[in-house]
Amino acid sequence: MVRWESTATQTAGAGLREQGQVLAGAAGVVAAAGRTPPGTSGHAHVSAGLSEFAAYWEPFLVTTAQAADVLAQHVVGAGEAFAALDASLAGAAAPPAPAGPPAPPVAGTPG
Amino acid sequence: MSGLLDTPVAASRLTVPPGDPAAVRALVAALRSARDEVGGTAGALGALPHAWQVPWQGVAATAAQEAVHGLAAAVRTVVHPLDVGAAALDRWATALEVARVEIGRLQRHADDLAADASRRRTALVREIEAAQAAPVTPQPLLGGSPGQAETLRMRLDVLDVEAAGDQHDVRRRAGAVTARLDDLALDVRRTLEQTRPPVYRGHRESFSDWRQRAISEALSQVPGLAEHPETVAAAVWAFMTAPQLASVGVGVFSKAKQLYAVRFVTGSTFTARSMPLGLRAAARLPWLEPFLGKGAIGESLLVGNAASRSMPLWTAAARGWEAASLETGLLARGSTLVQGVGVLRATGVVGGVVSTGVSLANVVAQGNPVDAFKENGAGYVADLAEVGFNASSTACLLAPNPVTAGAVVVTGVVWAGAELVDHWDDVTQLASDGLDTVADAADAAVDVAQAAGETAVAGAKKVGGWLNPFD
Repeated sequence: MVRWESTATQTAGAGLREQGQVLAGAAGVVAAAGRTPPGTSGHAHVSAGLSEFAAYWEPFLVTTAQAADVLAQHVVGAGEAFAALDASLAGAAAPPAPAGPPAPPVAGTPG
Repeated sequence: MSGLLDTPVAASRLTVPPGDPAAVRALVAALRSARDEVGGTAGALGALPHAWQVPWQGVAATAAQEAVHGLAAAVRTVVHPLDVGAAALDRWATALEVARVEIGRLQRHADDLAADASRRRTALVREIEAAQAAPVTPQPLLGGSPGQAETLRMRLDVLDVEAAGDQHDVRRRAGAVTARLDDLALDVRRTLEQTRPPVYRGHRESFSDWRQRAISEALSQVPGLAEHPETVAAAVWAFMTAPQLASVGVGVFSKAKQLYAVRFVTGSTFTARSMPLGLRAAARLPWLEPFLGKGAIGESLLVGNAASRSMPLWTAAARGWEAASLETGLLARGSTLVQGVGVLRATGVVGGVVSTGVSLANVVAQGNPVDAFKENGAGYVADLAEVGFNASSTACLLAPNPVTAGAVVVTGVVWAGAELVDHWDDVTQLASDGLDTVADAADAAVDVAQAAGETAVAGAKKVGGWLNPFD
C-alpha cells in the first residue's frame, strides 16, 4: 500500500537536518579537542592522544552529519516527487475546459 | 674566610608540571555535552521513522526508515568513545591538579629546608669564627681531641651533607610525582587510542600485542564472551604465547643439557649416563625425542677427553666448533641434527632467520628503545629477548658451541620470565575468571543452538504446511 501526506516528508526532512546540525556541532567539539596543545593539556602524550582521537572521530561525526543531510534531501525530494505526482494525477482527472464561442475577428486583420 | 663559608644553602628549583587543569576540565565538559547531544541525536533518529509510519507508507517510506535506522546505529557508536574520552581526560585533569599542588608543596618544603639549613649554617660559621679568634690552647701530642674550631668545621660538613640530602630527597619525591603523571598521561593516551577500531595500531604497540588485541576484540563480540573482555584477552595471549613459551622451554632445556655436559661431564665422549637421573629420564621420554633428539650436538660438543672437566670454556668451544663442522654431514643427511634442535630449529635456518626478522620488526616498530622501554617495560624486554633467542637459536644451528648455546639459555629464560611478568595480570585473570567465562560461553552456545533449532523447527513446519494440502 502506498500512502503519503505532504507534512510527513517535510517533518522528516526537517528532523534529519536538525540532527545533522547537532552532529556537525559535536564534530566541531571533537576537532577542537584534537587541537589542544601540550601547554594546555599538560603533557605531550595527552595532546597526542586527543589528536589521534579527533583524527578518527571527527571525520566519523562529519560523515554522519553529512549522511543526515543527504537523507533529508532525499526524503524532501521524495515528498516533492509525490506532490508533483499528485498534482499531475489531479490534473489528469480534472474535466477539460469547456469550449466557448469563436472569438470575433478583429477589424483590420486578414481572415 | 667567613664569606666563603657563610654561603646559603640553595633550595632545589622544582619544575611544576605544565598544563591548565581548568582548561582540561572545560574540555571534559564540552565532550560530555557532545556525548549527550550525540546520544540524544541517536535516540531522535531512531524515533524519527515512527513519526511517519502512519502518514507515509510504501517502498520509499520503508527505504527511508531503514536508512535512518542505520544512521542512528552509526551515531550511537560515537557515544561510548566520547564518554570514555571525557572520563580519561577528567582523570587526567584531577591528577594534573593534584601533581601541581604537590610540586608546589614540595617546593615550599625545599625552600623551608634550605632556609633552616642556611640559618643553622650561618650560626655555625659564626661559632667557627669565634673559635678561631679565641686564643689557642695547647693540645696534647698524643690522644688529644681536635680543637673546638675543627669540631665545629666537622659539624658544618655534616650539616652541608644533611642539607644536600634533604634537597635530594625533595627532588626524588618530586620526580616520583612527575613519573606518576607521565605514566597516567601514557595511560590516557592509550585509553583514547583504544576507542578506535583495532585496525589502528596504538602508540609503541608491538605487532604481536596489536594482533592479540584485534583478535580479542573480535572474540569479545561472541555471545557469552562479551561480559568477559579481560579474560578473553588473557586467553588469547595464553593461546598465542603458550606454543612460543613451550619452544623456549624446550630450547633452553636442550641447550642447558648440552652446556651441563660440556662443563661437568668427564670421559672421552658424552653419554646419557653422565646426566643426572631426572634429566636422563626426561630425555628418554618418547614424546620429547623429536624436540631433544639423541644429544647429537651435545656429543659434538664433547669430543673432549678426560681433561674436559678442567677444560676452559673457550677451549671446549673451539673443540665443539670443530666437531660441529663434522656434523654438517649429519645436517646434509637431514636426520639427527635437525631432530635435536627443537621446534624452532626444525624449521631450519631459513625459519630461524625469518623468526629473527619478524621479532626484530616487532622491536623496531616500538621506536626509540629508551622510550619504548620506559613505556612498555617488561613487554619490551620480552620482545628484545625474543629477538635474542631467535637469533641465538639460529646461530646455534649454524655454529653449535657453548657461547651460542649459552645465549639461547640466557635469552630464553629472560624472554619467558619477562613475558610472564608483563602478562601476570592475564595469568591471574585466567585463573580467577577463566572457568566462569567458559561456562558463560557454553551457556551462550546452548542458547544460540536452541534458537537455531527452534528456527529450523519452525521452518520445517512451514515447509510441511506447504507440502501438506490438508493443512
